[in-house]
Amino acid sequence: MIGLKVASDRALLDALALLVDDLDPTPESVAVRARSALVERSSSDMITMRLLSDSVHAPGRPRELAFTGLDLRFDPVVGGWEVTGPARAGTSVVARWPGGQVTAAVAAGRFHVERVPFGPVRFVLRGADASGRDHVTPWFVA
Amino acid sequence: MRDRDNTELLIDADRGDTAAWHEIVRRYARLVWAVPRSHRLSREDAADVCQATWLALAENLSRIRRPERLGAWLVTTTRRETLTVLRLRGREVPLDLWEAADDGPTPEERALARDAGLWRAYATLTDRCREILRLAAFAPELSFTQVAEAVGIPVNSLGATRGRCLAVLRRRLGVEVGR
Repeated sequence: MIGLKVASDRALLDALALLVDDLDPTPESVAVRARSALVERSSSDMITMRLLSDSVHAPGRPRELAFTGLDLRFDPVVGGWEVTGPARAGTSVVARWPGGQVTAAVAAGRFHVERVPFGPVRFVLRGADASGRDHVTPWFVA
Repeated sequence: MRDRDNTELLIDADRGDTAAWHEIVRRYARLVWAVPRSHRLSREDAADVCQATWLALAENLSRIRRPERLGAWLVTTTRRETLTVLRLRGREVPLDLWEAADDGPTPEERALARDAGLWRAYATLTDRCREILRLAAFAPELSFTQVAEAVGIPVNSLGATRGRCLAVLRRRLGVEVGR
Protein backbone atom coordinates (compact mmCIF):
# COMPACT_ATOMS: atom_id res chain seq x y z
CA MET A 1 0.00 0.00 0.00
CA ILE A 2 2.92 2.36 0.69
CA GLY A 3 3.99 1.83 -2.91
CA LEU A 4 0.59 2.95 -4.20
CA LYS A 5 0.61 5.96 -1.90
CA VAL A 6 3.74 7.32 -3.52
CA ALA A 7 3.02 6.05 -7.04
CA SER A 8 2.50 8.45 -9.93
CA ASP A 9 -1.07 9.52 -10.70
CA ARG A 10 -1.10 7.27 -13.79
CA ALA A 11 0.21 4.27 -11.88
CA LEU A 12 -2.41 4.78 -9.18
CA LEU A 13 -5.19 5.10 -11.77
CA ASP A 14 -3.93 2.01 -13.60
CA ALA A 15 -4.00 0.08 -10.33
CA LEU A 16 -7.54 1.32 -9.75
CA ALA A 17 -8.59 0.22 -13.26
CA LEU A 18 -7.21 -3.27 -12.68
CA LEU A 19 -8.94 -3.51 -9.33
CA VAL A 20 -12.31 -2.29 -10.62
CA ASP A 21 -12.06 -4.72 -13.53
CA ASP A 22 -11.51 -7.48 -11.03
CA LEU A 23 -14.09 -6.49 -8.42
CA ASP A 24 -16.86 -4.85 -10.44
CA PRO A 25 -16.48 -6.04 -14.03
CA THR A 26 -19.10 -5.36 -16.68
CA PRO A 27 -21.52 -8.30 -16.36
CA GLU A 28 -21.69 -10.48 -19.43
CA SER A 29 -25.49 -10.06 -19.43
CA VAL A 30 -25.00 -6.29 -19.84
CA ALA A 31 -22.64 -6.84 -22.77
CA VAL A 32 -25.14 -9.25 -24.36
CA ARG A 33 -27.93 -6.68 -24.04
CA ALA A 34 -25.64 -4.02 -25.51
CA ARG A 35 -24.78 -6.19 -28.51
CA SER A 36 -28.47 -6.84 -29.18
CA ALA A 37 -29.38 -3.13 -29.14
CA LEU A 38 -28.66 -2.67 -32.84
CA VAL A 39 -31.71 -4.71 -33.88
CA GLU A 40 -34.02 -2.43 -31.88
CA ARG A 41 -33.49 0.55 -34.17
CA SER A 42 -36.59 2.28 -35.46
CA SER A 43 -37.29 3.34 -39.00
CA SER A 44 -35.13 6.34 -39.89
CA ASP A 45 -38.07 8.42 -41.12
CA MET A 46 -39.67 8.65 -37.67
CA ILE A 47 -39.74 12.05 -35.99
CA THR A 48 -38.27 12.16 -32.48
CA MET A 49 -40.56 13.80 -29.95
CA ARG A 50 -39.04 16.34 -27.61
CA LEU A 51 -39.30 15.93 -23.84
CA LEU A 52 -41.13 18.90 -22.35
CA SER A 53 -41.25 17.92 -18.68
CA ASP A 54 -40.54 15.02 -16.33
CA SER A 55 -41.97 14.79 -12.83
CA VAL A 56 -38.97 12.78 -11.69
CA HIS A 57 -38.22 15.66 -9.35
CA ALA A 58 -41.41 14.92 -7.38
CA PRO A 59 -40.67 11.61 -5.63
CA GLY A 60 -43.55 9.63 -4.17
CA ARG A 61 -45.98 10.51 -6.95
CA PRO A 62 -46.59 8.63 -10.20
CA ARG A 63 -44.03 9.65 -12.76
CA GLU A 64 -45.42 11.82 -15.52
CA LEU A 65 -43.57 12.78 -18.68
CA ALA A 66 -44.78 15.22 -21.31
CA PHE A 67 -43.51 14.94 -24.86
CA THR A 68 -44.46 17.09 -27.81
CA GLY A 69 -47.00 14.52 -29.05
CA LEU A 70 -48.26 12.78 -25.93
CA ASP A 71 -48.11 12.61 -22.14
CA LEU A 72 -47.19 9.49 -20.19
CA ARG A 73 -48.29 8.63 -16.65
CA PHE A 74 -46.65 5.58 -15.04
CA ASP A 75 -48.54 3.75 -12.29
CA PRO A 76 -46.96 0.65 -10.77
CA VAL A 77 -48.56 -2.75 -11.43
CA VAL A 78 -47.23 -6.25 -10.86
CA GLY A 79 -44.08 -6.68 -12.94
CA GLY A 80 -44.10 -3.26 -14.54
CA TRP A 81 -46.08 -0.13 -15.22
CA GLU A 82 -49.56 0.75 -16.39
CA VAL A 83 -49.18 3.70 -18.76
CA THR A 84 -51.94 6.15 -19.60
CA GLY A 85 -52.21 9.60 -21.05
CA PRO A 86 -53.51 11.94 -23.66
CA ALA A 87 -52.23 11.73 -27.23
CA ARG A 88 -52.46 15.02 -29.05
CA ALA A 89 -52.53 13.34 -32.47
CA GLY A 90 -52.27 9.92 -34.08
CA THR A 91 -54.32 6.77 -34.21
CA SER A 92 -52.46 4.46 -31.85
CA VAL A 93 -49.60 4.34 -29.38
CA VAL A 94 -46.99 1.58 -29.41
CA ALA A 95 -45.01 0.92 -26.24
CA ARG A 96 -41.69 -0.70 -27.19
CA TRP A 97 -39.06 -2.36 -25.04
CA PRO A 98 -36.13 -4.55 -26.04
CA GLY A 99 -37.65 -7.70 -27.48
CA GLY A 100 -41.30 -6.72 -27.23
CA GLN A 101 -44.05 -4.21 -27.80
CA VAL A 102 -47.76 -3.63 -27.28
CA THR A 103 -50.15 -1.39 -29.21
CA ALA A 104 -53.01 0.65 -27.76
CA ALA A 105 -55.62 2.56 -29.72
CA VAL A 106 -56.06 6.28 -29.23
CA ALA A 107 -59.73 6.80 -28.32
CA ALA A 108 -61.17 10.23 -27.57
CA GLY A 109 -57.63 11.54 -27.44
CA ARG A 110 -56.41 9.08 -24.78
CA PHE A 111 -54.60 5.75 -24.67
CA HIS A 112 -54.12 3.04 -22.06
CA VAL A 113 -51.36 0.42 -21.95
CA GLU A 114 -52.01 -2.25 -19.32
CA ARG A 115 -48.42 -3.19 -18.63
CA VAL A 116 -44.93 -2.38 -19.81
CA PRO A 117 -41.99 -4.05 -18.08
CA PHE A 118 -39.47 -2.21 -15.94
CA GLY A 119 -36.38 -1.05 -17.78
CA PRO A 120 -35.75 0.81 -21.04
CA VAL A 121 -38.84 1.75 -23.01
CA ARG A 122 -39.93 4.10 -25.77
CA PHE A 123 -43.29 5.09 -27.24
CA VAL A 124 -44.32 5.45 -30.87
CA LEU A 125 -47.24 7.63 -31.88
CA ARG A 126 -48.61 6.19 -35.11
CA GLY A 127 -49.72 8.62 -37.84
CA ALA A 128 -48.89 11.62 -35.71
CA ASP A 129 -48.72 14.31 -38.39
CA ALA A 130 -50.48 15.36 -41.58
CA SER A 131 -48.14 13.27 -43.73
CA GLY A 132 -48.97 10.19 -41.68
CA ARG A 133 -45.49 9.81 -40.22
CA ASP A 134 -44.85 8.22 -36.87
CA HIS A 135 -43.37 10.18 -33.99
CA VAL A 136 -41.26 8.46 -31.34
CA THR A 137 -39.87 9.25 -27.91
CA PRO A 138 -36.21 8.64 -27.11
CA TRP A 139 -35.36 5.53 -25.08
CA PHE A 140 -35.52 6.05 -21.33
CA VAL A 141 -35.58 3.90 -18.19
CA ALA A 142 -39.12 3.56 -16.84
CA MET B 1 -6.18 -6.49 -40.40
CA ARG B 2 -6.07 -2.83 -39.35
CA ASP B 3 -8.44 -1.65 -36.59
CA ARG B 4 -11.32 0.43 -37.82
CA ASP B 5 -11.53 3.89 -36.27
CA ASN B 6 -14.70 5.23 -34.67
CA THR B 7 -15.85 6.97 -37.85
CA GLU B 8 -15.66 3.75 -39.84
CA LEU B 9 -17.28 1.73 -37.09
CA LEU B 10 -20.20 4.14 -36.76
CA ILE B 11 -20.78 4.23 -40.53
CA ASP B 12 -20.55 0.46 -40.83
CA ALA B 13 -22.78 -0.17 -37.83
CA ASP B 14 -25.34 2.26 -39.23
CA ARG B 15 -25.40 0.10 -42.37
CA GLY B 16 -26.23 -2.90 -40.21
CA ASP B 17 -22.72 -4.35 -39.82
CA THR B 18 -23.09 -6.25 -36.55
CA ALA B 19 -19.34 -6.88 -36.31
CA ALA B 20 -18.77 -3.11 -36.30
CA TRP B 21 -21.43 -2.66 -33.64
CA HIS B 22 -19.94 -5.41 -31.49
CA GLU B 23 -16.54 -3.74 -31.75
CA ILE B 24 -18.01 -0.44 -30.52
CA VAL B 25 -19.58 -2.30 -27.60
CA ARG B 26 -16.31 -4.09 -26.87
CA ARG B 27 -14.39 -0.82 -26.78
CA TYR B 28 -16.79 1.12 -24.58
CA ALA B 29 -18.84 -1.34 -22.50
CA ARG B 30 -16.49 -0.96 -19.54
CA LEU B 31 -16.65 2.84 -19.67
CA VAL B 32 -20.45 2.89 -19.90
CA TRP B 33 -20.80 0.43 -16.99
CA ALA B 34 -18.48 2.62 -14.90
CA VAL B 35 -20.84 5.60 -14.93
CA PRO B 36 -23.89 4.26 -13.04
CA ARG B 37 -21.70 2.12 -10.79
CA SER B 38 -19.58 5.09 -9.74
CA HIS B 39 -22.87 6.71 -8.67
CA ARG B 40 -23.67 3.60 -6.59
CA LEU B 41 -26.64 2.47 -8.66
CA SER B 42 -27.54 -1.16 -8.02
CA ARG B 43 -26.40 -3.66 -10.61
CA GLU B 44 -29.98 -4.07 -11.86
CA ASP B 45 -30.54 -0.32 -12.31
CA ALA B 46 -27.07 0.09 -13.78
CA ALA B 47 -27.84 -2.63 -16.32
CA ASP B 48 -31.05 -0.82 -17.36
CA VAL B 49 -29.21 2.49 -17.68
CA CYS B 50 -26.47 0.92 -19.78
CA GLN B 51 -29.00 -0.74 -22.05
CA ALA B 52 -30.82 2.57 -22.54
CA THR B 53 -27.49 4.14 -23.52
CA TRP B 54 -26.72 1.46 -26.11
CA LEU B 55 -30.26 1.71 -27.50
CA ALA B 56 -29.81 5.48 -27.78
CA LEU B 57 -26.50 5.07 -29.59
CA ALA B 58 -27.97 2.53 -32.01
CA GLU B 59 -30.67 5.08 -32.77
CA ASN B 60 -28.18 7.92 -33.28
CA LEU B 61 -25.32 6.25 -35.16
CA SER B 62 -25.58 8.69 -38.06
CA ARG B 63 -25.91 11.71 -35.77
CA ILE B 64 -22.63 11.43 -33.86
CA ARG B 65 -20.96 14.60 -35.13
CA ARG B 66 -17.52 13.96 -33.66
CA PRO B 67 -16.76 10.23 -33.74
CA GLU B 68 -13.42 10.78 -32.03
CA ARG B 69 -15.43 11.91 -29.01
CA LEU B 70 -17.74 8.89 -28.93
CA GLY B 71 -16.51 7.98 -25.44
CA ALA B 72 -17.53 11.38 -24.10
CA TRP B 73 -20.92 11.12 -25.86
CA LEU B 74 -21.53 7.76 -24.21
CA VAL B 75 -20.51 9.05 -20.78
CA THR B 76 -22.75 12.10 -21.09
CA THR B 77 -25.73 10.03 -22.25
CA THR B 78 -25.23 7.42 -19.53
CA ARG B 79 -24.75 10.02 -16.84
CA ARG B 80 -27.99 11.81 -17.76
CA GLU B 81 -30.02 8.61 -17.40
CA THR B 82 -28.09 7.65 -14.26
CA LEU B 83 -29.05 10.92 -12.58
CA THR B 84 -32.69 10.45 -13.58
CA VAL B 85 -32.78 6.95 -12.07
CA LEU B 86 -31.03 8.22 -8.95
CA ARG B 87 -33.78 10.80 -8.52
CA LEU B 88 -36.45 8.17 -9.18
CA ARG B 89 -34.99 5.96 -6.47
CA GLY B 90 -34.48 8.89 -4.12
CA ARG B 91 -31.34 9.45 -2.11
CA GLU B 92 -33.41 9.01 1.04
CA VAL B 93 -33.54 5.27 0.35
CA PRO B 94 -30.59 3.49 1.96
CA LEU B 95 -28.14 2.62 -0.75
CA ASP B 96 -26.91 -0.92 -0.94
CA LEU B 97 -23.48 -0.27 -2.36
CA TRP B 98 -22.33 -2.95 -4.77
CA GLU B 99 -25.49 -4.95 -4.19
CA ALA B 100 -24.97 -8.35 -5.73
CA ALA B 101 -27.44 -9.72 -8.28
CA ASP B 102 -26.74 -13.28 -7.19
CA ASP B 103 -25.59 -15.18 -4.13
CA GLY B 104 -21.91 -14.69 -4.87
CA PRO B 105 -19.64 -12.50 -2.77
CA THR B 106 -19.99 -8.75 -3.21
CA PRO B 107 -17.01 -6.77 -4.47
CA GLU B 108 -16.49 -5.45 -0.93
CA GLU B 109 -16.43 -8.97 0.47
CA ARG B 110 -13.97 -10.03 -2.19
CA ALA B 111 -11.89 -6.94 -1.53
CA LEU B 112 -11.83 -7.66 2.17
CA ALA B 113 -10.90 -11.24 1.44
CA ARG B 114 -7.83 -10.13 -0.47
CA ASP B 115 -7.03 -7.06 1.64
CA ALA B 116 -7.67 -4.61 -1.17
CA GLY B 117 -7.03 -1.38 0.68
CA LEU B 118 -7.19 0.56 -2.54
CA TRP B 119 -10.76 -0.59 -3.10
CA ARG B 120 -11.80 0.35 0.42
CA ALA B 121 -10.18 3.77 0.05
CA TYR B 122 -11.87 4.28 -3.32
CA ALA B 123 -15.27 3.22 -1.94
CA THR B 124 -15.15 6.00 0.67
CA LEU B 125 -14.76 8.78 -1.91
CA THR B 126 -17.63 11.02 -2.99
CA ASP B 127 -19.69 10.10 -6.05
CA ARG B 128 -17.99 12.88 -8.02
CA CYS B 129 -14.51 11.71 -7.11
CA ARG B 130 -15.32 8.08 -7.91
CA GLU B 131 -16.75 9.11 -11.28
CA ILE B 132 -13.81 11.33 -12.23
CA LEU B 133 -11.21 8.78 -11.16
CA ARG B 134 -13.00 5.87 -12.82
CA LEU B 135 -13.22 7.82 -16.09
CA ALA B 136 -9.57 8.78 -15.80
CA ALA B 137 -8.65 5.17 -15.07
CA PHE B 138 -10.70 3.62 -17.87
CA ALA B 139 -10.53 6.27 -20.58
CA PRO B 140 -7.22 8.15 -20.40
CA GLU B 141 -7.81 9.17 -24.01
CA LEU B 142 -10.62 11.51 -22.91
CA SER B 143 -9.38 15.09 -22.73
CA PHE B 144 -9.95 17.30 -19.69
CA THR B 145 -12.57 19.14 -21.73
CA GLN B 146 -14.43 15.93 -22.57
CA VAL B 147 -14.39 14.67 -18.98
CA ALA B 148 -15.45 18.07 -17.66
CA GLU B 149 -18.38 18.19 -20.08
CA ALA B 150 -19.33 14.62 -19.27
CA VAL B 151 -19.39 15.09 -15.50
CA GLY B 152 -20.81 18.60 -15.63
CA ILE B 153 -18.10 20.70 -14.04
CA PRO B 154 -16.12 23.65 -15.46
CA VAL B 155 -13.11 22.50 -17.42
CA ASN B 156 -10.84 24.92 -15.57
CA SER B 157 -11.66 23.26 -12.26
CA LEU B 158 -11.36 19.65 -13.38
CA GLY B 159 -7.61 19.43 -12.89
CA ALA B 160 -7.81 20.74 -9.35
CA THR B 161 -10.79 18.52 -8.53
CA ARG B 162 -9.09 15.44 -9.92
CA GLY B 163 -5.95 16.34 -7.96
CA ARG B 164 -7.95 16.67 -4.75
CA CYS B 165 -9.64 13.32 -5.38
CA LEU B 166 -6.29 11.62 -5.88
CA ALA B 167 -4.91 13.32 -2.76
CA VAL B 168 -7.85 12.09 -0.69
CA LEU B 169 -7.39 8.61 -2.13
CA ARG B 170 -3.71 8.68 -1.18
CA ARG B 171 -4.49 9.94 2.33
CA ARG B 172 -6.97 7.14 2.85
CA LEU B 173 -4.49 4.65 1.55
CA GLY B 174 -2.20 6.05 4.22
CA VAL B 175 -4.83 5.32 6.82
CA GLU B 176 -4.97 1.79 5.46
CA VAL B 177 -1.22 1.54 5.99
CA GLY B 178 -1.65 2.58 9.61
CA ARG B 179 -4.24 -0.07 10.37
